[in-house]
Amino acid sequence: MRKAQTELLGVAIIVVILVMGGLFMVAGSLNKKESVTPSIIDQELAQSFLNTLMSTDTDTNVDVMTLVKDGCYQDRKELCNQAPNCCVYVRQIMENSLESTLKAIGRKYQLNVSSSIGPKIDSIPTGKVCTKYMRSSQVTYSIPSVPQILVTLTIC
Amino acid sequence: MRKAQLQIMENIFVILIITVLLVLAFVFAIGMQKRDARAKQEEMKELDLLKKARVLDFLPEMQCSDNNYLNPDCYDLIKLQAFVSVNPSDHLFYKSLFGRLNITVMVLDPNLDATDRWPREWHIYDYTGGKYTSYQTFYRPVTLRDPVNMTSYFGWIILGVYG
Repeated sequence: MRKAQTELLGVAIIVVILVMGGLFMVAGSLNKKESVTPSIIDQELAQSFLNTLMSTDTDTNVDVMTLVKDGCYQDRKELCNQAPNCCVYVRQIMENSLESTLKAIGRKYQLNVSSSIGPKIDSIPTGKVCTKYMRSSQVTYSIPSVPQILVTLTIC
Repeated sequence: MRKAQLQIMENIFVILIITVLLVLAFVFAIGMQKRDARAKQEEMKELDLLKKARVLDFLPEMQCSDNNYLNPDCYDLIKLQAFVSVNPSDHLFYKSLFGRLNITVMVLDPNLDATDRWPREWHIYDYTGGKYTSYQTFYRPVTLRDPVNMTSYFGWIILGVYG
């Protein structure tokens, strides 16, 4: 009886050591700090993209920022090549830029244009792309105007 | 005597099994560390690319200037074309500055009636430094300004690093 008890105790000690070792390994892998480098690169990409897009001149020799501010929100159709809907026109330009660049390199994104008087430009793409479970970097470009217009780009 | 031998053999097997389990755990831990080190190395490469891209932004050979105001997020198209004609890949100064890189700048035309989204591109620099085993790419948007026509274009820099 005594010998069997000693044997069982030995086995139990081995099992306890193995379980503790396994728990340490799991705790170590869960405790790993996520690097900030990918978010810095995405932040830089998003910021550069918005700065570049807003200062890009279009066919009418007007930059995209002026198209959004005056063409879309002030309804000045002469700035949009007399397009029937200036907001759709400028949205198409922004969508073309995004598809040729970020989409072409396999990145997911969401661009929103918002204002205190309500949205006039649909988000690009329509529908939610970046969910809360994805790592994402968000940058906002503020267009100085009355009312203030905010262009937000999220890369996820 | 036989009983003692059995007991010893039993103990030896137990120790052997524990050793094998410890070795397996050690190999697993080393594998995970290797994976982490590789991921860290990739991050360092990307940060290095980001730094190199920033060096490009402040190169007076390409930077936009307006009344002595230098804009780091803008490249002057005229200067860019002149810089390409100098062929920086053949110059030791630029080889030491950029290293083993491939730098290409493209112009994007986002207008609705554009027949070609990418009408122009310039291969600014390409130096492999001999054989290479890997190639990583980094993309960055930048404004390309034509100072003659006072027009700004959407530029797309493609930075490739040879490993």
